[in-house]
Amino acid sequence: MSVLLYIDPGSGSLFFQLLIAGVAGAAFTLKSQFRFVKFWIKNKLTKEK
Amino acid sequence: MRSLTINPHSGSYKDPDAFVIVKDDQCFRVITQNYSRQYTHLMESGLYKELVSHDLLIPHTEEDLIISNSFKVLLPQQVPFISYPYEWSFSELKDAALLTLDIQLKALEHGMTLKDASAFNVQFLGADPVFIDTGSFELLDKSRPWVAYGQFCRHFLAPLALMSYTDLRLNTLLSVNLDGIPLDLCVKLLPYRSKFNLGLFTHLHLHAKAVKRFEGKNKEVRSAQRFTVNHLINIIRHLRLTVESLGSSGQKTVWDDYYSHNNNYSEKAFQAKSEWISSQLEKRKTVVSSVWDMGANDGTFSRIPASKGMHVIAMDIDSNAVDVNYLRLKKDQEKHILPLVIDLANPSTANGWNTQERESLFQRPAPDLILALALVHHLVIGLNVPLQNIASFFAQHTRTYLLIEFVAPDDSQVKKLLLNRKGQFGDYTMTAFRLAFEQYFVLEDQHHLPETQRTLFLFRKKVNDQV
Repeated sequence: MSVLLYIDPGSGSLFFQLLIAGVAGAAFTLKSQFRFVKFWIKNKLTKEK
Repeated sequence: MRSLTINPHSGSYKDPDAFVIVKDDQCFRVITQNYSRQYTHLMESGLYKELVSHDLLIPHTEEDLIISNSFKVLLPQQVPFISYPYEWSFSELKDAALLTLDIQLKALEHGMTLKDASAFNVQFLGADPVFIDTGSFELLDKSRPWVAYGQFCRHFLAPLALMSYTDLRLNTLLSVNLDGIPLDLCVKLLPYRSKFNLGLFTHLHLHAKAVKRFEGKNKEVRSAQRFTVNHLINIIRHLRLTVESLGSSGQKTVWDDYYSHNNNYSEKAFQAKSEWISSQLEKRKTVVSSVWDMGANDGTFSRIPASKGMHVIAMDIDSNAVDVNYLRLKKDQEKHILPLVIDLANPSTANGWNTQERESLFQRPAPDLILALALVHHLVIGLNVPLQNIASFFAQHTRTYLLIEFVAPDDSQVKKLLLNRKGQFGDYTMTAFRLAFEQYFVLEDQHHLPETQRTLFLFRKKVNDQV
């Protein structure tokens, strides 16, 4: 399907997304898990105080 | 059904499929036949209902009107005061970015995608951001990357990263780059340590390299078989985490704790000031519905008119003070105040195509009352503006009233300003002040604040034949 675009998406920005597509998923998962661990440790430390 | 021919609003020429017109001071959005399929999907897929119920998208009604090639004419809820991204503080721009990404995620769930991610698509209702471009939704091509990805990075991520990592004052770059900050310029201005933020490294540093690499090359990207909607969702979620990770902390300015720590008033004077302002506003409650608090700092005194149901624009030059104000308003769920970063010595001018795309500050609806507290000495001494010009300035921009504080030359703050400029401002006196202002205004009331060198004045603008 081809849609009419009124902004120029930029070839660089489009190709770049194809390139990072796989990596972004992994980065998102890692970052979310890191946050969870950080939150868990912080919670644990506060409770122990 | 009435049929009309009206030209699009001068700022709404980019998208011919769904544009804005202004009629009788009301904004309408015209959905043309070309956009009928997308609009119908938006309304029938449940996306519109979900976005509106979460206060993400401006609600509208369909009007009984036909305008040239229209499929529908919409009357959206009206935004009382239009503001622009270069007038927002860090957290306002950040919330507008998160709103755009949240809308994109919900659109993807309903088989749609945003065809643009301009920061101008967001407006504030009080301190709540809302998406106003009902014509931004396109049917989703599942194998195609996000067409608005580059625009999102230029309009939101680049200025936020610059404000967070380099300097808060860089929001002003948005006023000269209306289609967002070019990525190559952004990465030149970012410090090296920004590369250690994986999100910024990817979406700004590497992205800028990709843009540069493809510049001028004739390559068309339509779709890729291996690219799926899950990839797209992951990119949006990763952008969201990146935006969320940015903070404005650690940048202290002169003004951001003015009232809480560096207070120039005794408790008694502060109380007297608040009470007098409150009583004056109470008396004029029926005729004052909008207020501009000029030099509002963190909005301490903007709360008084807001508590009486008046709509307040709280302007200040200090980006950090405006941010403090915005975050407090959000916490308190105060709906009547919109804080904006405005330099009174150089307020927003009209700009864009033919300088008619975005309005200057003074082309937007004027307030019934201007509040100018602890401001006049900065204009006279800090900026060398003569009292006469200041009086004329306020008379031009208020519709009716001016509530202004005169800070006498022997006040400690004025003494600080005069420290190295003794003898230059001999004509800065209360008599000269009154003489200048009474040329344009009628004095209705005044009140000296106890234990201070400060006096409050309530002026009413003279009608033309009185000047």
